[in-house]
Amino acid sequence: MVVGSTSAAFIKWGQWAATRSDMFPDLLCQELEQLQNSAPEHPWSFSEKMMESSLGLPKDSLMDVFDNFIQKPLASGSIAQVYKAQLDGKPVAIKIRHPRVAQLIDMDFRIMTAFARICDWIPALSWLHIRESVEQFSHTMAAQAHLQVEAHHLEILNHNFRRWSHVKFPYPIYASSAVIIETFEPGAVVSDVLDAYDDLANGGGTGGSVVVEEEEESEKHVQDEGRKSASDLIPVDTAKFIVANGLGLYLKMLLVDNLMVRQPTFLFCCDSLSRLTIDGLSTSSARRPSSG
Amino acid sequence: MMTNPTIRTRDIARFVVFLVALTIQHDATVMAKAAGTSFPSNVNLPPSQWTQIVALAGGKNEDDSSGMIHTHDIAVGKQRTDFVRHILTDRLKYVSSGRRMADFHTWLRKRGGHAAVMSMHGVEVDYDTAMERQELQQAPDQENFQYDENHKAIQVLARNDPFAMNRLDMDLPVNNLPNLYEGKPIHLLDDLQPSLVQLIFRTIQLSFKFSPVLSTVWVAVISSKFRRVWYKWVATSLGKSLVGCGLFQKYTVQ
Repeated sequence: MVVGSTSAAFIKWGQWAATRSDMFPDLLCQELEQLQNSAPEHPWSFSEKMMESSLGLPKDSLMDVFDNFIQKPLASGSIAQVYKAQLDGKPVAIKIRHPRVAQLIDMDFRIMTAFARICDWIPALSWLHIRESVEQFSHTMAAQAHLQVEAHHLEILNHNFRRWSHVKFPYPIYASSAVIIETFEPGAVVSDVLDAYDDLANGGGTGGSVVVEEEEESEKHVQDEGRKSASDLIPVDTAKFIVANGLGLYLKMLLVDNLMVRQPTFLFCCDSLSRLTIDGLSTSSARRPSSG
Repeated sequence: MMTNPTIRTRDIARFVVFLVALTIQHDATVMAKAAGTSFPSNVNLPPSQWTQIVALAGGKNEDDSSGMIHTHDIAVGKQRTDFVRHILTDRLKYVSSGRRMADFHTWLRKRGGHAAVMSMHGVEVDYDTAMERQELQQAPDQENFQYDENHKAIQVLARNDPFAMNRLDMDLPVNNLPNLYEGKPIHLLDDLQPSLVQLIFRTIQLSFKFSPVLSTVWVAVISSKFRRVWYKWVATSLGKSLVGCGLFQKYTVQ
């Protein structure tokens, strides 16, 4: 079990390395998979300060801008955490970067690169392919720490999928280096749905929740105790939609647009079965697969 | 030969204070040099990164009020708040109506139809353009001159907008309302490049965190049995690699 706090650069590198069994030993990848569940959280007071600094607001005036602001984060990643607020009667998602995360990433990659070069000179360590993996990973990671870049990528993703009427990404309405305010797209994470299917297949039945907490109506719809079949877990239409479009979405992002959502956090709307939204928590430029 | 433990403790404490003072002085010098001629001598330098860390961790920062404006006029504060709310509401309507996507498409067409996917790798920042752009956004309010100069210098140093020419701007628009945040622009400070001293401190910290892994790598190379344990240590060291500045708490653990 990995206990303690995390550094975004090393955690992200570990998470990425866990998926690269072609570069690293299987046993190491299995150990690194634990890092997928590690995410830090910063206090509300910091988020409030960051918002005020970014928007140029006087102290304690944040609540005058928004109708309401839920101070408990909806989710937290290794770069930032996300809040939900209401603006002009409409829900918005607000992503706020963790303190010092950009600088730590900058420092860690400088150190990692220097260390990787040293490792590369030692024949006994060359089998680890450290330099190759650090170089492949560092530039996208550094960009992720600057949220205005992510906001720009979200706009590109929306543009790339403009002809896919059933696909939508959150749309940024404000972005600075440390804060993004974007449209709130309710739904459930597809990977959670898949986990729930696995539980169902294993005879569990009450596995991982597939419902975003705020969606009370959807919660009633999906989170029934008598979850005995796949169709109870997720409507057949939605399942068919995910099956028919999921792979196409990934392939388009990977092979055509060269820009994809790094983490498998596809969302589907519980209230509107015909629409698929994709969470933009972590976008990055995709790397085309090498010919080798 | 016996040594006096009291004197030894005092010496260590003095050495630590000396190191901290050296760090703060170094940071201030680097920032002042980097700001160059665009940073007037009468402007107070922003606190160093270490001072910020201490402040954020709960320590008292005596420089908090230096060079800052103090807003006592509630009406001005309300004006700024209303302005931000108005802009954000308008943007939300702009986006919801689909006009933003159409504008983005038009903007892309003018650029040849290709949207650049950005990374920080190999980007050369045009500081002059960034400075000019920032000057346009600053309020022409003499009362806030000192704050704005300070803010501007940090913004340039922080590479806040390295892609200004490559994307549609999503920051707040130009206006005559001053920035009323009473403190250093913390959303920019994090983007400052680390100093050499900070890098050395970070390297020392990481070497402690990774010492179990690094010191036993040779055993892992020759022993496949030990390698299984060693992989666990690698994962654990990666998980524990944050500086202990007290800002992070564990969110989820499995």
